[in-house]
Amino acid sequence: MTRLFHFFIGLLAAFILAPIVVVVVASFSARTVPEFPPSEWSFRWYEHALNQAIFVNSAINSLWLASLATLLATPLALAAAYAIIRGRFPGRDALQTFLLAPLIVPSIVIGLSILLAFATLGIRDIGLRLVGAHVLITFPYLVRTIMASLSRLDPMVEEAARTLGATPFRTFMTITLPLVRPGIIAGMLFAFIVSFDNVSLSLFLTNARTNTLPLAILSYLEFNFDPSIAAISTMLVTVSLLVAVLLERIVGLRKVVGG
Amino acid sequence: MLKTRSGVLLLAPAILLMVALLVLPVGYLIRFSFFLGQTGVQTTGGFTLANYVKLFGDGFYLAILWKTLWVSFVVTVISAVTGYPLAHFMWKASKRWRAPFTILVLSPLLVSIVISSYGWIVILGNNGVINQLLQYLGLTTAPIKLMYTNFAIVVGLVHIVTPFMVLSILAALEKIDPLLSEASATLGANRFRTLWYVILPLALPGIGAGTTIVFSLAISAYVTPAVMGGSGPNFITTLIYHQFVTLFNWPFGSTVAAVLLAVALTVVFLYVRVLSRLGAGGAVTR
Amino acid sequence: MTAVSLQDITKTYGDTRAIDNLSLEIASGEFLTLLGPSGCGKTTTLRAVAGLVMQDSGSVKIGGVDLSSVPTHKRNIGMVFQSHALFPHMTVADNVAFGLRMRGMPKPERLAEVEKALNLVRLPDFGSRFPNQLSGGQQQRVALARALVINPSVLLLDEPFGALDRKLRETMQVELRELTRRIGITAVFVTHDQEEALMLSDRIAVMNAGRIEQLGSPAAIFEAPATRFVADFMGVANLIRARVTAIDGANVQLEAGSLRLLAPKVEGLATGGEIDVAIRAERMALDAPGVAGENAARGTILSAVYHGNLTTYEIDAGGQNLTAREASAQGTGGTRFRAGDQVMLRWTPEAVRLLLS
Repeated sequence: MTRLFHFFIGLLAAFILAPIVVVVVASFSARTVPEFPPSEWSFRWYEHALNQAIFVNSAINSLWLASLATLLATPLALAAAYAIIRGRFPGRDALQTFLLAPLIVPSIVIGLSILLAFATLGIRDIGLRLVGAHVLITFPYLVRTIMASLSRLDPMVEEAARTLGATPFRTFMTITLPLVRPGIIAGMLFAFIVSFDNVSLSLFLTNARTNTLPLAILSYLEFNFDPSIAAISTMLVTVSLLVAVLLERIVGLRKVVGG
Repeated sequence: MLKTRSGVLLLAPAILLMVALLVLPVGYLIRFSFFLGQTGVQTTGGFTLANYVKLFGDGFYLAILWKTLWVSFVVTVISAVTGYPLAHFMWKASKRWRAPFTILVLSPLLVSIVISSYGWIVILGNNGVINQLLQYLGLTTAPIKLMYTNFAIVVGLVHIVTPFMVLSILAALEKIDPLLSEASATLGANRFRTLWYVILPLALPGIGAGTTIVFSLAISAYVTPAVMGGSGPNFITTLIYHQFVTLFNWPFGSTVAAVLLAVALTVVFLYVRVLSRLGAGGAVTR
Repeated sequence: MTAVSLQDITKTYGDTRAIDNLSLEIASGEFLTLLGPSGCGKTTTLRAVAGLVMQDSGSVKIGGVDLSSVPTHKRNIGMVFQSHALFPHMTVADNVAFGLRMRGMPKPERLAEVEKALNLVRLPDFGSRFPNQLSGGQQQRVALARALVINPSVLLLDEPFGALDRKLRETMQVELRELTRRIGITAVFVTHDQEEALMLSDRIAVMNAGRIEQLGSPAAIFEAPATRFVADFMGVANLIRARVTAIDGANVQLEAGSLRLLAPKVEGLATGGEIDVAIRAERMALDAPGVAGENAARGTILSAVYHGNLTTYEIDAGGQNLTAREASAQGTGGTRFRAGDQVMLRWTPEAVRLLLS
């Protein structure tokens, strides 16, 4: 019975890994269509992908966007998480739900709403609306991770610092911040991934000149099917895997993702 | 403890962000859904329910709505049935297995949906891994159409929602006192009866949270139906995209989006109601 | 000299008064304990002294200076928490040095002070360890060193030994008493453990519902509880409602059912009035049956419970349930009497405490 159960678990694991493994292996095929397993091996699609301006430019855009969104959302999230965990005021739970709302509202709806709002108000800056939208969707992941870290921190540790003569600001800098730093870093890494991989929000907010990598891949896929997509994907998967291992080491992956 | 004034100061930027980029824009979207469109942001005439009448009165749109709900339901059921064993395995797994399995189960989340969709094309396509295998084994002569079907959408969606289902159930399982299994055994229950009468009922809140999250994720997924479901609008989300980007009918697109939002919020609301009736607390978040 | 002075402190949370118009003067070098059950306001009072709780009204003075609206970090207090509250990301030495760093003391002096403080708590070679590498008792000693090294005006201790096991707790209590007396520091200690309070304190303030119910030396609190609450909290087993039948000279005669009691007279009594009476179980002597009278009652043993050096008897004395406790008899399996035995209970007038409401 236990063996049957483990066999079933093995099948599910294979299902989860299948598309990723196939992409990685197919990226090394030499032909013009992705093959699994490749009949001939080569690195030519890596070279091809890295020579395509749309991929390189959109990748740079995505890196900028994800970094900027994460860096802007983090202080907001830190302040909000601290206020919610350490504050005592009516409506705390409701406020917490409100701050996590970008996770409940479908992101395609968020994307459209921002498009509409900016168009109605006549704001034409693509970068602004894109960064704003990404700050909004990375924010709740950061709030949740930082709140989890803060709630594990004994408030008496902060009080002890205050009795020893530390001002509230100094207490925050010397005691609170160092102790929640792993949570903040983990939240930032995950926020970066969320922003970098986002499609359904960016879909409505980019234009031909300002594109993100997932969108570039998506539009490339409409007319091409060559393994250069697999090559790019493999590079991204490698980075994601490294980040995942890092997150698991820092705080445990699950605390970041929640559930 | 924080003084009220400092608390307000710390929360102000976050609340401002929410209001400026979520509350107000969604308000615009809902308002927009009650006007008739010209092109883009231009509207004609006054307040009207015409868009809603059009959406709910036309068999074409209703079929898309119905298909979205039906496919999402199937995805939810399958992911619950496959997610429970995975969560149970992780719950009981030794330390050595836990970390790699966590990364494995969460991998669909860490890899862009665009990438996994591409992978599914390679697997399910007419010249894909499965069709080649079937032909090699002589089980079929012509390729079977797997890609660009509802089946493909279900496969793609189950794949991306698995982490959420597993984590929700695992969170519930981990709250169970391990002594309960032992107590059940001392009272004469075998492993299946212990699972059925003790563990599963206690895991139910997790399964409930998981199905809520998964259903909301499924109805609002865009990439999977767009890439794996073939051309033309076939899902609420692709219909919205079609209206906005192809037809440039923003008000009608807003109407469809407002309906999607209403469905998503209703699901969460129902879940919270059921949960509070069960006497448990908690909020649904992905 | 008054070290700490609390004047009319009130603190409410919603509808509950955590501290209810409390005033207290603590002398310089005194070890004062706030004793009471959980929720009596003792911890809130301590936190008000620290400035971690801001009172709604009233004033807090330390060393004669009004600190009522001065934030915690400017009060120069040392505080020890139940959970130790050591900074987990700092070494023991950095923990102890933290307060000195905040005061801007240069590093060489700081190191010397830290070494002195660690010697004081008998942990001289632990400076480079991290808190999670220490035992519970060692962690609490580091917390004590950290609070003392800044030379605080007053040392505040919030159930510091609550998390320790019994044996370790007793060792730490002795150490703390010895240490505070030696350096002559003023200390305010919070606990719900009356034995701990009796053993450590110069004075005890028993608290109930945000007020001080009784303030006095350990002996006074133990021997002469002033109220029913204090008597009950200090473990008095026999609390009897009695009626005053006569007042003559130095004595009062009382009656409770068939019991007749004689007690030293106190002020404010009137014949016919009702009053609570407290008699400690160990002041009740057991005897073979005899003649009942004043401070002597005939009864039947309901139960005899042996707990090592002591044995406790529940006795039915003419409808009144009384408890007597005596040293266990040697070699007889402990109990002198068994359930059902007829006995005589006797006590002295001095054992009878009259409790003024």
